[in-house]
Amino acid sequence: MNPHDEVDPQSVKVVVAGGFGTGKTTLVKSVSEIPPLTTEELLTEAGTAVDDLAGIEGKKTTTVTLDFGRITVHEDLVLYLFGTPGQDRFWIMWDELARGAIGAVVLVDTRRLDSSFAAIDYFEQRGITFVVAINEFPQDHQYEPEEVRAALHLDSQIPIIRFDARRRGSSLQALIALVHHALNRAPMAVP
Amino acid sequence: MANDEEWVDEDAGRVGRLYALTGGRVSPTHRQLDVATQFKVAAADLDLRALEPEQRQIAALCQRWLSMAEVSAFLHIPLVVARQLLSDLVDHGVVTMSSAKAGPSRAVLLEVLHGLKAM
Repeated sequence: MNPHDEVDPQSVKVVVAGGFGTGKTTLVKSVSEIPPLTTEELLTEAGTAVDDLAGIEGKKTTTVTLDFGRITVHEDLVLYLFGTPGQDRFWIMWDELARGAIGAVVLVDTRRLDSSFAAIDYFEQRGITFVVAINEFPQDHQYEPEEVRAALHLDSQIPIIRFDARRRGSSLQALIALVHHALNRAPMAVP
Repeated sequence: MANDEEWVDEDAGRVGRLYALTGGRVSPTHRQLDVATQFKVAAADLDLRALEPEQRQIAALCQRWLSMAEVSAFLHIPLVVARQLLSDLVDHGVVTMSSAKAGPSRAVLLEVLHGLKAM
């Protein structure tokens, strides 16, 4: 139905996850071509989705905030980067973000590894493609990826990279690692 | 972000009105929409006078391809409301949507990879 001179655009998603303070927003900000945008979704208090507006007036709702950015790969291909909501309990929102996504970059801060456990569990359990990105703070002790892998009990197949979320080039490398990993997994994907 | 708190209060009334406007009907298009699905007005010369203000705003925004998330962010409406308004606009032929996909193909992944490496 589009005019012939126009190509159907493609959009792809990447989920940026990790514990509080690991640098999710910093990553989105450093690579996005626009200042990150904020949107909101209404969920019921039980954490389920408000599917449509029917009967919404009778329900108690809560608002979940999402930050996202955008990278135009080329004229007809846009990559959206969605930071997961800070409130880990709203898994339904994660489901919506992860559906059809290339995968996730899970940020970890080596001073607080445990703050990213929930995110890692989420993607592991669902078989969703993800990489672990250690956001390095220069003043900290630099851990080897294999030390972090052992501490996180992470499967040997999951790539671990070290990067600096404040630097665009470094954040791009984290995204590239994810796309590489998605390509490696693609032939084995079950239809 | 003082703004956020303001509109949560007015939200109930606004969502209620938008619900009334769509009659609570859930369009089949609705389920196909994703936060990253993109939309663009179908033609430049559409008569938008019959549309609700929010729908006219969407038509004005979507002169270029924009995602549901962007429409929601720019108009300060929750995603659930953007989803409803956009699916109605698609059903009425006012906007065109990008085709829904279960996940990126290998070809698209390669395009993304090359694009990111070139940046």
